[in-house]
Amino acid sequence: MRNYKDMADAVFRRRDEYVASVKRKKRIALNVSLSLCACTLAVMGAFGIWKLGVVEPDPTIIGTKPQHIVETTEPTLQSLPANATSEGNHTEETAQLISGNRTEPQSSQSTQTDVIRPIVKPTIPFLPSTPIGPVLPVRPTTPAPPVVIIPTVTVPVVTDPVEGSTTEKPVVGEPDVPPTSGDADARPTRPAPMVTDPTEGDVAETVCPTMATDTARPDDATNPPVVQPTWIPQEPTTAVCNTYPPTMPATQAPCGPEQSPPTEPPQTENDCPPTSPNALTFVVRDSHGNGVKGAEFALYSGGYCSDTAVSDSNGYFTLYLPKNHLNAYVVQLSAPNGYEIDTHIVYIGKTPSSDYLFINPKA
Amino acid sequence: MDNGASSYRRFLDGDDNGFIEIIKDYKDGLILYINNFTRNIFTAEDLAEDTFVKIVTRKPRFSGKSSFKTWLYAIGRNVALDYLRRHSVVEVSTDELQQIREEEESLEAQYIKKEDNIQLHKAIRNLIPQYRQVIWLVYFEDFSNIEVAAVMKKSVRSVETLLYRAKQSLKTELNKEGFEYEKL
Repeated sequence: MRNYKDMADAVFRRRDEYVASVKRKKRIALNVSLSLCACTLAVMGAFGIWKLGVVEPDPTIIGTKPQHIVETTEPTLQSLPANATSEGNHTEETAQLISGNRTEPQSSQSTQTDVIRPIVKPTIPFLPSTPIGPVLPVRPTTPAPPVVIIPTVTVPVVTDPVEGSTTEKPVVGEPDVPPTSGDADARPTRPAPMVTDPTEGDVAETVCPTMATDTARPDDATNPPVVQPTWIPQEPTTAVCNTYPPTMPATQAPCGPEQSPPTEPPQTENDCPPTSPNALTFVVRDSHGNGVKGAEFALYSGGYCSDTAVSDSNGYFTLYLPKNHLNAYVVQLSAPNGYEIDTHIVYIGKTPSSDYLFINPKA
Repeated sequence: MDNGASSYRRFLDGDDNGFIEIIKDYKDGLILYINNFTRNIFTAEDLAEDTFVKIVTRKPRFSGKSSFKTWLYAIGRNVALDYLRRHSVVEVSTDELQQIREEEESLEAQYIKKEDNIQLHKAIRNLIPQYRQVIWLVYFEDFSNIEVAAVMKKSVRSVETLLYRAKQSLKTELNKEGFEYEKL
């Protein structure tokens, strides 16, 4: 049998071993717990990053596609409809695309005549847009710098009024898309107008005033329109349209009896070529029922002068509505010498009809 | 001799000599008590050492509701029972059995010292373990019935009944060997 000293030594030795083993176990448990915490935090962090979508899968990998990327149908210039490139709509939509104000593309059939929409004034100065050229090859992915877009301006020149064939002379750029009629309600407002004095006599050789006009349209025939056309000087070599601006009469001519238009619309010279063969034939007569020759009329659509015409010897003249005309109306610009001007305004509805007779009584 | 409580308090305060004193005072009695379970003096010695190691490492709180010796023997009893629960069958060779007898007699002579008590202790080897425990605690450790009940985790009434039956059994054993113990 061992004595008490040997047993005491054995007891304390085993105690030391026990304490050392406990410390070792505690250290191992601490390391394991720290490792588990680190792994847990890493997993939680990775899960959080994954949920937040910070890390995106590589789209270059074939077969992978980011799930959170929504394909938008934001139209670009190339994806715009073809008819939206005429009548200066391309410049307005280009401005909206650049400035980011564009809401949705509008088809040519969706805009009707009586719909009035607010025109967003672009921040980019625009050139006259009638007639227009093709769409500029603007890359839609480029940022929106303050770039001044100079559209291609092609002025059609009537070579054969009978056949209606026209040739376009590009002024700027290289047109490759023929102009078509577009939305008239989407016209941008014009910059600071350059108004010429309508009383000057050399206005007969000015270009067709198809630019924007700050025109206050009268509500009815009793209030003659106060036309304040805005002019932008162009090269004199461009096509020449009918005479404009009008000399508004001081007095109002009486309304005459209605007269049906002739079956064959007479051909007029110096007519702006219509973009749509929607012809309206009117007649102007004096108080005795004789045709008045040389009376000048203008067709406004969407606040712009879209066409002008001069009556022939029988008093007939033809105006051509644009394809998507808006708030179109016909006013007489001038009357020949010895006649009074008819100050009535003939509004053109959705179903246009030339059932109005202009009366120019002798002065 | 300190009853062990003050030594254990000094040990808890950081003085290992206090526990050495406890080992010195209570080692032999604990071994002989555990031997009543194991009937192997070497195993009892190891279990006594395990009992001291258990107290040293875990440092259980001694409330003082009983004597320190009662508290220590109760811990030793639990250790012995755990050992017997794990080792239900202990094979002992003949040579080892002879050595166990010699060690046990040596420890009896060292601890009991009285020849009558030594003869009495030899007589209780043939009793069942519970009778051996209660007779050892009452007649060799001078425990009261309450202390015996605390060590054996029995009620006092159960200890009294168990002690009565242990005396009757011991009388029978002593009569077989021609002894007549007047204290029984």
